[in-house]
Parts: sequence; C-alpha cells; structure tokens
Amino acid sequence: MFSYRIVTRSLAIAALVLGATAAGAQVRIIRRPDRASDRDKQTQANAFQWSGELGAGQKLILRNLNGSISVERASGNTLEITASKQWNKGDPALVKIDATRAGKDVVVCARWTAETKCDATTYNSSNEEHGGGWSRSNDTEVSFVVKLPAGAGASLNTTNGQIDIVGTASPIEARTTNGEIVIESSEGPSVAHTTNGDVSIHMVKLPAGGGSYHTTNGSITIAMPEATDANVEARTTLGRVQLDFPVKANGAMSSRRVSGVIGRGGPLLDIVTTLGSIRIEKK
Amino acid sequence: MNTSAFFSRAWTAAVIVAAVPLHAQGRGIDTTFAFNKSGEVNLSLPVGDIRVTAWARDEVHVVASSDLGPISASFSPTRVRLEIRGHGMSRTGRARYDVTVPIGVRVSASAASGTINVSGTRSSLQLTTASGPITASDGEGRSEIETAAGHVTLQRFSGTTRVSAMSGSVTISDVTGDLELEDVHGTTRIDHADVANFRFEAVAGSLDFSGKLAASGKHSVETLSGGITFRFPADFGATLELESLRGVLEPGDFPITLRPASGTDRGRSSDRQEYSLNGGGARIAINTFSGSVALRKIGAPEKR
Repeated sequence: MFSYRIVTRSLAIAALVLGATAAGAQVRIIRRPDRASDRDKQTQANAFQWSGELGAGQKLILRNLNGSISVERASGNTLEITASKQWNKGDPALVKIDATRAGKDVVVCARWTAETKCDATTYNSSNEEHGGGWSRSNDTEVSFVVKLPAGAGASLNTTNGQIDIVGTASPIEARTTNGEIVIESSEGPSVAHTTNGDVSIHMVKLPAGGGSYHTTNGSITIAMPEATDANVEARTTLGRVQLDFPVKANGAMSSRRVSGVIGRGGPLLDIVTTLGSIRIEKK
Repeated sequence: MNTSAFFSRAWTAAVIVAAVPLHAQGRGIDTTFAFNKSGEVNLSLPVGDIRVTAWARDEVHVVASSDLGPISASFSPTRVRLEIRGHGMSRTGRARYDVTVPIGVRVSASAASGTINVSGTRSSLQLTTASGPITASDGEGRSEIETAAGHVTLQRFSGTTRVSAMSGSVTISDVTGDLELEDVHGTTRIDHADVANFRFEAVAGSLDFSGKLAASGKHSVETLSGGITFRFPADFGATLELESLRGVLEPGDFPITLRPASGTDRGRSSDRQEYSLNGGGARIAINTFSGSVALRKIGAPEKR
C-alpha cells in the first residue's frame, strides 16, 4: 500500500511553518518613546491657532510633513485648530504654519521652507537641499489638534506622524506615510492610507461613497455595526483576512483575499495591506 | 488434441471427481472446472497481461500461457492460483492469463509490469501493478487498486474502494459507497459519483470530482499543490472547510458564503475558512498548500 499521508503532512506542516514565519516576520515600526532625544525635546505649545466657521459640505484641508494630527468633534460650527512644535535641533521658527480660505474650504499648511508649495491640491515641502527644511539639522515636529464641526469634511495629510480621529460625523480622508491611523467616528472615513503603520477604524455607519483603507506594513482592523450592508474587497499578501460577518462571495476567495457582499450589499470597502492581517469585526 | 488441452482436461477431471486441490506446472493451460462463487482467484505475473471476466456459470475457465517460464497453478473448487515461478524465468517474453469466473468471485491480481483488466465480477478486487494500467469494472465490497506508474480506470464500483497511484492518472465513473484515493502526481477524475465517505490525498496530483457527497459522510481532501475541481448538482448543499496557505476558492457560478470566524479561529491568524454552498450540507475538509479549489455546476460549460 502506498501511503503518502505522512509525507504530505510533513511537507504541508513545514510549508505552513515557513509561511507563518514569513507572515509573522513583518517589519514593525518600533516606537522608541524613551529616547534621550525625545525626552530632551523642546516644546512650543500653541505655536499656531486658528478658528473659523466651517459648515456642512465644507472641508478642512490640512497639510503636514513631520508630526501628528489629532481630530475631535467640535461642539458647534466653529473649526478650531491648534498646533505645537517639538524639536531637538534646528530653528522651529523656520517652520511656518498658515491657514487660508480656498473657496468654501479651509487650507492649513505647515511649511518647512519658504519654497514649500501648499494649496488645496498640492503639497511639496522640501527639506535641507533648499536650506533648512525638516532634516537632520532641523527636526521640528508640528502636532496639530483639530476640533471639526459635525458635517464638515476633512482631508488630513502628514508624512511622519500618527493620525487620530475621535467622534467625527463626516467623511474624512486621512493619509500618512510613517504612522498609524486610529479613527473612531460615527461615519467612517472615506480614505485611511498609511505605509508603515496599523489602521484601526471603528464606525457607526459606512461612508456613503465607500472607504479605501490601505497600509503596506501593518494590520487593518475595522469594527462596524452588525446590521451593515456593504461590498468588501479585502486582500493581504502575507497576512490573513478574518471577518465576523458572513460574506457572499463574488469572486475568488482565500484566507488572504475576500471579495463579496455583506448583508444586502452597499458601499465598497477596499481594504489592502501587504505585511499584516485584516480583521473586520462587529461593534 | 494438443498437450496443454490434454492436461487441462485432466486437471478439470481431477478437480471435479476428486474435489481436492490440484497443483501443476506448465507453460500453457486451458481448462474449465466447477467453482464456487464465494471462491477466490489469485493471479500474479512479472510481465504480461491479466484479463478476468465473469459469467453466470458456476465454473472457472482458465487460459494461461507464458514464455517467461513455467506457470505454477493451483486449482480447487474455491481457489485458483496462477503465478510464474522465478526459477528459470526468461529475461524476455511475457505471460498472459485469461480467466473467466462466476459472478461474485473475489479477484486478486498483480503484475510487476503488465496490464490488468477485470470486468463484470461484482466482487471484491485487489489489483496491483508496479508499472502498467489497471482497468476494472463492477467492483463490490472492499476493493483495493494500487499502481506505481500505471493508469487506473474504474467503472461501476460500490462498497469501499481504495485506489493508490504514484504517477499515473486515475479515472473512476459510477462509484458509490466509500472512496479513498491517494495519487502523488497524477490526475484523478471521478464522474457520476454518489459517495458516502470520500478521502483524497495527493502531493501534486489534481482532482476533478463530479457527483454528490453524502450529507452525513466524512469527506476530506489533502494536497500540496494539486488543483481541485468539484462539480456538483446545482442544488447541492455543502460546507467547505478550506485551509490553504496559497490556494484560493473559485466559486464559479455557485452561490457561496464565507462564514464568520468562530471558535478557536476567531481572533487568531488562521488559514482556515469555512464556506457554505447552497446553505450548507455535506461537510468537506480541504487542506492544501498552494492548490486551489474550483466549484462548477455539473453540465456547466467550462470557462476560459
């Protein structure tokens, strides 16, 4: 009798172990909260303050390069923005922050150089090659705290920094490169993209136009109500996709790729990571 | 009358009259004698062809020839044994057994390099080749079919059927009862199946299954890299427990639902997923490394 069970199992187990090792070997951004350089940082609180009316249908466009963005819900229709600066080296005064009205929207820019291009559609903040931008000679971080009126939208961008959003009630776009994105809102974000960092979203209802949640090196966790109607496209390269919701398949499915319908279908949730897992939970 | 015919008739007479086992040697046999349908036939040869057919008579008809070496034969009313003696065996040539048995007689046949063809016996079959095709039909009870480098073609099998193949293809049609298959590298195709319990294991072998699996049965498929295609009736209900590192499930035109993670899988990184087909039913455990699983409705045109 030929029995290949043992061979098959052994090879499969070896492969699974290798796979699991590869999946678990994702590169993590390790925070170093207690670095001497962090402890020694100087802080300028209230380095920037701005407030103004921002109604439903209007939008805050916030451009940052180095530093975090934190958003919470305002009690009225007044948009309030404050920013602080932290630095070890260089001159924080070189980093300028301004707010302007662009049509019905508000554009806030953190400019590391005089040449920084920043408007509603463009942000290009060069560094030391233009003499004095964010660099080893000027490590100024700008941390924004925003109080966003209900109904107003926001497009938030930073390169090095976390984005935290709590209690908002309108579609938000959040983009960073190095940093996690944490959102707890009544209406989910339309965009949450990072490269190095986890994405965590808790929402009461889906954004009407759908959501795009991406990271490269990090996991994505989404919590939404049990009675959710959505279409979902979730894929990871080396992680796993796991859901608390039944999904009617409308394409190829695997532990790394789920394409289908939750409930009766609805807005599309496009969820992608490379080195990390995806988990969709019931709130 | 030639010599073999003479001996053949003599053996038959001896069996019928004396009803005692007869042992003989020769390079040619042609004999017919009474045989009990609960009896057993054992046939083996190193190189050549074995053919077994069945008839309604309570007799065995044996025609055997060999230019490999002498045939060792043993006949009784309940047992037939034919083999080629190793002593004095030629390096060339082949042997041929052509045996007709009463329906219901168990058949055991083996060939190192040769063909085995068994049909119509409605009995338990044990068929083995190292190299060479096996073709059989009408197996009942427990049947075991094994080959290292041959193709296997089976038709109308019931009871428990077990097939092992190293590199040859396996084709089975009209099978019921329990079905167990091990195929390392070959392709396995199963048509018109209505299987109570199903087990398939392969390394790189692929599976194309068409038919039904019992809702109460135990069904499992394990493969490293072979692809798996299940063709079910349009209303067939199943629960697929798929665990695969790199394989995917292609639902085709079946409505399938990924069930929520539960139990120990919930909250941990796992390649195990559970899908329901038409609301669930026959539970099928599928474990692959990189092999994918495709679902098709029986009779549906192939997608390109």
